[in-house]
Amino acid sequence: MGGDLLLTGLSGLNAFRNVLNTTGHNIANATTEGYSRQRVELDARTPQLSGGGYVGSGVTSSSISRLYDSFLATQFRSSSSASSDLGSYLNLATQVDTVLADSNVGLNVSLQRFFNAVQEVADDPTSIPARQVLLSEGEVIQNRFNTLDQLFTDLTSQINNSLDDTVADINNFAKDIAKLNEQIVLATGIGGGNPPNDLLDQRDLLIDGLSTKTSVSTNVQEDGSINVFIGSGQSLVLGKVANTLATQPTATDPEVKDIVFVQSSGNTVVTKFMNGGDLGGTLRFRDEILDTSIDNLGQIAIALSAAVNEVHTNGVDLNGAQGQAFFNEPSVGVAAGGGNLGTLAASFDPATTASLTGSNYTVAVAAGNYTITRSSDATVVASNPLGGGSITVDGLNFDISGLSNGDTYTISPPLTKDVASIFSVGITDPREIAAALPVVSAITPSNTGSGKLSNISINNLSTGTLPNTITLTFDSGNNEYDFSYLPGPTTGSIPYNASSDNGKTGTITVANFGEISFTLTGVPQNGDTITLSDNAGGVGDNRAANLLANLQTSLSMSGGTASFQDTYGQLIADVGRRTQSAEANGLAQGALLAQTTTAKDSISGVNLDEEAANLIRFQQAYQAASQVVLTSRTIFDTLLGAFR
Amino acid sequence: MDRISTNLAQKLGISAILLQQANVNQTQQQISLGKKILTPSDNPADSVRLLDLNESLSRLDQFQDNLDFAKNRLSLSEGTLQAVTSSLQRTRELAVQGFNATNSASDKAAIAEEIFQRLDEIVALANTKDASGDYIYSGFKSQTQAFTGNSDTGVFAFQGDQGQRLLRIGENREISDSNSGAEVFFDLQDKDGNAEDIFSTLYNLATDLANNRPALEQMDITTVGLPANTETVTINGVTYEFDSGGGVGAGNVAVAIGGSTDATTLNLRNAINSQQAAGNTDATASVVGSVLTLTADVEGEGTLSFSDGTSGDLSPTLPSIPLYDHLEQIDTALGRVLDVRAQLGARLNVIDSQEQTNQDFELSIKSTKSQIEDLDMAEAISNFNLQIVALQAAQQAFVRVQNLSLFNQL
Repeated sequence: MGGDLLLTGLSGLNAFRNVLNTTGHNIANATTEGYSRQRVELDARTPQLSGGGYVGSGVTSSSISRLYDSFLATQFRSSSSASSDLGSYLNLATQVDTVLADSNVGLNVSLQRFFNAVQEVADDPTSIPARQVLLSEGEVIQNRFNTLDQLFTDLTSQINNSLDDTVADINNFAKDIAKLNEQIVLATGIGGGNPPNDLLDQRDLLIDGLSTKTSVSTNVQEDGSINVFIGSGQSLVLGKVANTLATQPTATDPEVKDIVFVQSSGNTVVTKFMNGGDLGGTLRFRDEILDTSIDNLGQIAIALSAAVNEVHTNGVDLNGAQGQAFFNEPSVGVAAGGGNLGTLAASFDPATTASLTGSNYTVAVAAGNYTITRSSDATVVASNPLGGGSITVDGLNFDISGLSNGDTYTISPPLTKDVASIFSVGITDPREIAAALPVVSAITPSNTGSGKLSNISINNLSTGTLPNTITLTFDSGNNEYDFSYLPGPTTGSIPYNASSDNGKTGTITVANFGEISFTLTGVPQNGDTITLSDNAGGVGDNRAANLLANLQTSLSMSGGTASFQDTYGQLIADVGRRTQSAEANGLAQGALLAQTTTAKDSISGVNLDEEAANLIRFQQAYQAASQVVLTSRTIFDTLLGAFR
Repeated sequence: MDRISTNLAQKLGISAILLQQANVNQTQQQISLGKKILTPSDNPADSVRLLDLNESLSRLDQFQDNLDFAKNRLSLSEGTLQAVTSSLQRTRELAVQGFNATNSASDKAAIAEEIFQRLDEIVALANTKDASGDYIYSGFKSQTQAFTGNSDTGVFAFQGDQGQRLLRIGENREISDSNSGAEVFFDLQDKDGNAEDIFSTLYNLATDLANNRPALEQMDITTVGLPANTETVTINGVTYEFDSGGGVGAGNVAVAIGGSTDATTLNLRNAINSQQAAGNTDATASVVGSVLTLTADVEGEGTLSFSDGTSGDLSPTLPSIPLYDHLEQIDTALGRVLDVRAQLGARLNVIDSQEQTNQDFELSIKSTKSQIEDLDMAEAISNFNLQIVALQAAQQAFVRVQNLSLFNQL
């Protein structure tokens, strides 16, 4: 009986020493990252049957377990993935957000100043300083495009580096998890099924770390190892085996990187499956903000240069020569096949730049039909009988009037993303700014009627000089203006009935010069004449400058719904909105993460007060157990004394 | 949560402090810039509206620039035409003075001399340049001298064109900053519908005065059809009867009907001139083709009388005195200049009202802009104070909580 009491006391001493040790371990690891507090499971020992019934025989520490909730851990990881996803997204997006609207870097202010400078030239077309200012403002726009493009190029390489780093991190995590899997399986076996708590903590910490890089799901195996899947189910760690991720340039653009799974059979591209974590956030930023911004900028560059040049090349400069391209327009490459008899010209269509695909195209002509095929997906985008005019496909304008049977062409438009980097001003001399139109009209003073001609505009100009004066003579018998002009001589007439045609637009096409359009108004009398003559010496003319200034508000982009500044404003708004929502979601996700962390920590975390209380409690228990041993000795001594 | 780990408690305390610090920082930046919106993501919709408003403001500024240009040019033109007007009025006075028959030839020559001077003055005014050295009446050919000719050559030409520059002075308002010199000085018509210009008028007036040309009344009579036998026409008291050989009524002078209108006109001239030689009438006739020009022998108005009995075979033009015609032409020119000045005045009025409109618009944009982007300082500063108090509270709470540990009590 007495021996039993000693053993019982001893069992208490042993058990409480374990408990005190574990409490000490908890205190020591109070600040260790990923540490889960441990607890000794105490069980009463099997009682012994004696005459009086079952007598208790002390305590045993059956196991040491960690306080850990795998459900909360999973929740924590998904919060942590989402939170770092939004974090890296926001981090990158903020860089674009602050820059786009910055008046020193963004495009909006410089566009505004450019068009103001155009109006200054319109105010005083002979002023060289005003022209010089316009030229400088053109260069500022060039500079802005180049700077923004540089910013985006830098971001692209920053993203590439960050993808490389993240992939390296993920690979390290995978390797370490696989190694720990191996150790855990071993330790569990050796420990006879007792969990190696600290190894488990280490592995969980690694998986937590992995979850900040990408989204993670896990699957615990019976032997204690854990399988780790990332993205949308790509297996990263299977037991002791870790797979490897890598980056490689995309098939379409060597400057952009894809995420691949390295496999013996060859690399599999998994970019689009990667979500969550730094990796997901970075990829999402590239998709949603960077690529859109680059494309948008390129589209503005294409549309702006095309629209400005269209007006500028239909005007004449201070020297009386035809205006040159104000901005160097990105040209669409056309390669003709051998043996072609016809010609093909291709250019960007400023109004539909949003439909640009970046693909090459082939044009083939056979049996009186031409076929335009998009190379990227081998789709026939247009197939029609030969004819005059032009056709617009995917934001490109094909001039098909010169095609001939048997012709083949390859069309290679520059990528939209490359356009902003090569955007530049095409003229250098302020006198080369075309503020005037090449044609001027005069109403003969002796006219008896009130017929007028105004709003002259020019298209397809090929030279700055109208060869001969065109005289329009009103013929009241036929209600028409008759005209004739050289070279040719060509004659023609424009029907004009004063009662119904007031404000009618007339057009005269002059060979080797261009197309003159004008508005006819008033009530002309028979024999009244109006002349159209070359605007020689017309240095005070500001009509082309006015047309240029009108481009500022003309809706020349997005299929005729947005001006250049509108388009840029939409880009700013788009990036702003995405940044804002990332910020808001980031806050929400942060709160969720904090909550999950708290929940997880409330179970696993070490509370020093609690441990202090435990110290006191178990110290007292230990002391009590030693008293039991002492009592057992006293009983034994008493017994011995009885025999003395 | 009834249990919290020591580590987390500390982390939570720190993150509370960090959050407060971020808030304080954001408010501090807003206060130091006075702006609510620091980056577009602060409020994407408003920041794009701001861009639009800034664009409108900048355009309004530009319109003001354009408007100033237009105003300066129009005022210059108005000032020039005012000088032209007074010069023309002086010329008119001189002309009236010059017609006075009591003037001697040398008096008239002196008056002519002053008119020549005035002519040169007006040509110079018509060639006025603006501040940038552009001729204001040359149309688009602004660096080509608008008019050539002077009182020596007497031949005047307009070298500009009819081009009118349009300047944008409002979102939907364009205004012309000039008038073509052709319209102002050149494309005039005399009373018979012939092309005439101010300069030639003055030159001819001065030349006539210098040549001491008398102020005799003149009249053109055109024979448009052959008069019938016995039809009559009465000129300055003498009745001429057209006759195909049957003799004429008593007191009538016979005019033979010729084979053509020209021949008949010639016969009429001869008849008139022979009556004049005989002292029966005080008008002399001359003929070009079928146009007979009657000239009164005495100066003054109303010295020619004409009564037609040929049922329209003769077509008279009203009596005229070349010197007086010049005067009338000056009035026409003055009228034209005044018309143009009225136009200029109207345009200047439009500019003024547009300027007012633009300023109103600018004010409303600025107030909208201010509502969107300007920080409510009072609110922001009180927020700021509150945030600082919160930060201090968080810091103090952190320190106090950190000192709480059971170990301290052991």
